[in-house]
Amino acid sequence: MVDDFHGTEDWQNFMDGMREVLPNRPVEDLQSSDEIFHTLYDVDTKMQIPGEQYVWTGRTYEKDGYQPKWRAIRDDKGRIVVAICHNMHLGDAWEWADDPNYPEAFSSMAFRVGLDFIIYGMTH
Amino acid sequence: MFQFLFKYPSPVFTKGRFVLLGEWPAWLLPLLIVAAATALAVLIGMRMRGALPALRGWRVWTIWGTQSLLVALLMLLLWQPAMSVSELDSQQNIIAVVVDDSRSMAISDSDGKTREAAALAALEGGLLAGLRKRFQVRVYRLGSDLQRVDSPQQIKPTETATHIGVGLKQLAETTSDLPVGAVLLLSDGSENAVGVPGTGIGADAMQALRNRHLPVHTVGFGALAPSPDVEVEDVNVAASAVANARIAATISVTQHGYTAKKANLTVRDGSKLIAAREITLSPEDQVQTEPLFLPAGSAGAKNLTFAVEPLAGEANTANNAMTRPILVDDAKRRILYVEGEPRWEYKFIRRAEDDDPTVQVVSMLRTSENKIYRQGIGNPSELAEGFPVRPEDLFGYSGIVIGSVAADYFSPLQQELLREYVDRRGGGILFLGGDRSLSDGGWAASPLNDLLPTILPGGNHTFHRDPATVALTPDGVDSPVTRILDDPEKNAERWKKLTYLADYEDPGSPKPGATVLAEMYAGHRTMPLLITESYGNGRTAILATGGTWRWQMSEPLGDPSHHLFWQQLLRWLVAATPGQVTASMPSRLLMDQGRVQLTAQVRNAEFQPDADARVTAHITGPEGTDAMVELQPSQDQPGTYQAEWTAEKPGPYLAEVTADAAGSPPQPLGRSVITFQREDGVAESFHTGQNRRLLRQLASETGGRYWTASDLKSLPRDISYSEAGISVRSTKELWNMPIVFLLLIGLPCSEWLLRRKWGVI
Repeated sequence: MVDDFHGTEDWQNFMDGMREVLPNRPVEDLQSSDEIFHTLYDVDTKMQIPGEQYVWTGRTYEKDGYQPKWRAIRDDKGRIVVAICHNMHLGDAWEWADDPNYPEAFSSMAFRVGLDFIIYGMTH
Repeated sequence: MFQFLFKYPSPVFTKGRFVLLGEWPAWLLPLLIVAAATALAVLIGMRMRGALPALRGWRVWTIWGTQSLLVALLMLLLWQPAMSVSELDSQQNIIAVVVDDSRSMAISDSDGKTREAAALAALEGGLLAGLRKRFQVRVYRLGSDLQRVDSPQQIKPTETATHIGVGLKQLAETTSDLPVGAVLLLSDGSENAVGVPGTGIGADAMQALRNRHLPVHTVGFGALAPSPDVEVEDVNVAASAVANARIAATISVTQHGYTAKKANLTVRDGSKLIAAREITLSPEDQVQTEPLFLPAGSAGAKNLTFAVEPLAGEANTANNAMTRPILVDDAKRRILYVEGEPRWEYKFIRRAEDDDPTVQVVSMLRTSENKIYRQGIGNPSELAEGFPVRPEDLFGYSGIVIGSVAADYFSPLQQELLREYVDRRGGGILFLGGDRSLSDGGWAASPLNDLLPTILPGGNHTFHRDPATVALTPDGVDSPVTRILDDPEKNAERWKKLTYLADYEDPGSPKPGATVLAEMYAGHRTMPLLITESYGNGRTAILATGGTWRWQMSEPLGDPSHHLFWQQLLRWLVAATPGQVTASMPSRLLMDQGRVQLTAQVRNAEFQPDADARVTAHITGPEGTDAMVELQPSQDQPGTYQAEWTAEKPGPYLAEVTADAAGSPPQPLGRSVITFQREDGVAESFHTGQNRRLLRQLASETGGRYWTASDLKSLPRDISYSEAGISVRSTKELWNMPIVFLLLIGLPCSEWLLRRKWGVI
């Protein structure tokens, strides 16, 4: 799972590295109906989950990462081997879940998505 | 010599009945003999004190013995002993001379002549003439059936099979209104039909002969110990297999003249070699059984040839191979996998089965107390309500895997359904070790405890997240389930080197009838790891770990051990699970005859017998054979349907049996495919040595006698002692036998000589 990278420049850095690991694998956008979002919880609608910076900026985005991108790279059998969370920060949502200033909605979604990812990894 | 001493030939004594012609009652004779012997003993005893020292102890009792024998003999003669025996009336009886004319009689091992030529020479050399002096003679040739011939010269060894029992039964029945006094069978004893154990002749043939009191005199031809030869005695292999599975087969071999030599066992599908093994031949006349593992390959009907490569100097190589039809099926078998908690083992089992096109794992994983994650389902509603509660929902699966799931997860109804699934439906259940499995899951106290192949240990805390190493047991070395490498020894070594398991659970001790295929070692403890057992119509197994995933993660990249093991284990779980329609026949190999009895078991969706189905068989075979046969319901076994058919031509056949439930429109219940093969003339190449045992037992059980070809002089006389046909019972007095005279003189002379030797005369 790849998380906490934002905007065009971060994406380019990520892809430069990923192409050295999986040079020929396409990156695809995940749909809400994809299995990975329904292993434990049914996450049908998703929001952009900001990092802790949201508390003092009020913005859900960083740099030019205005839109959340849920993406993945699959293997030959269609199993997701890289789950990409671009323009969001689930890790902070887990870390600051106990901060009363950090919105519960973001943390709840982040936990649900994270647990879905874990169950997906343990079942595929 | 016998007749010189006893005046009459031996059949008078062996077939006759001892009688006493005297007028005094028979019970008086032994009484008087005992009385006389006692009186002698008393007399001797009274005079013992005054006897000479040389005549004491055992010597005096020896004298008593000779005197008692003499008295007994004299008394016996007073009662006029005789033998009452039936004899065939001359010229009023028929002797049926039956000559084996199958191909095995063409073997030249009778002093340079063929067996057939030796038999004809024996007949023409005085035997027939001797019989014709006293009886009418009818000559028959015997192969797959019996036919009368005018002359022995019409007999040629060309028949493709020998059915001695069928031929004799036919003779007994077709001559029921004729005075046949005895049967003379000239044969090498090669019987190609199944029969009474020990005789090789059918029980009905023996009964037909006994009903007519027909004695069968047999004359054996052919070498008893054949020339150097290796022969395939039998091949055992399943009639069907799952595509790409590994099949276990056994091949039984006997040999003469090649003890301790190396031989190659091969299995071919047409001309393609699919398995081979070198073996060392056992001592002569021992049936040596060797296991073989071979790949089933792709789907289809196949004829596999199991052979021993001919060795140098073998006289007969036609008996080095046997073929067996086998049907390889690629129909996907669905397995329901119930897992109680997310754990790594689950994922790696699914991944192993992803590569197996013949098995589909449908899984329900309990991700939380009240949530189930389903994978591999056929439609959105499958397992939507959780574990099935109706038989028709559960019985559609060919196997069930129960992971870390406590027994009380299943309701009483579901538990009973699980039992019915194995017992009645014939499915397979595999229990895995885990935190909530076996004893730790309360299975020991559950009603399903008797499904398990082990006696679970008491208490809990039997599951340990500690490493355990593994090894195969002797049963595991021979099992296709645990075969990672083809060579058995290398396979056993491979298992010892497998990465340790991540965890283990104590499964307890195996029940009688269970088989332990692998063991695990944790610290100083040795425990069963993989245990299997048959239960009712199905099978159960325990794999007492949830940690085989380490075989995939910690072995070198590309090592197939984990995948192979799981694919073979799950194929074993489902391979024998029957469908709603199961076709069968007594034997899939028809030797020289084409009678087929086809049986189908038909069950409904709940796997209860369906007695109202319409069942048909579409049979295809060689040279365009194509037939539709309707199977009729059995009157005493609901759900069983039968039909008889005849395969006219040799070659492979395929029968597809389909069943539809009654109703409009008819609902298909299922189909079953079975292959079989007719082989003509093959059986004659096997067991080519003279089967003296069969010929002797046939003779002794019917009151006849076994003769060798070189000693037939007294046969025309001895054959007349029979109770069949038109026979007369004659009484032959025994008082004037030379042996009696010799005893009357010999006993007193013996006593005199002994006394003289001991110096008491």
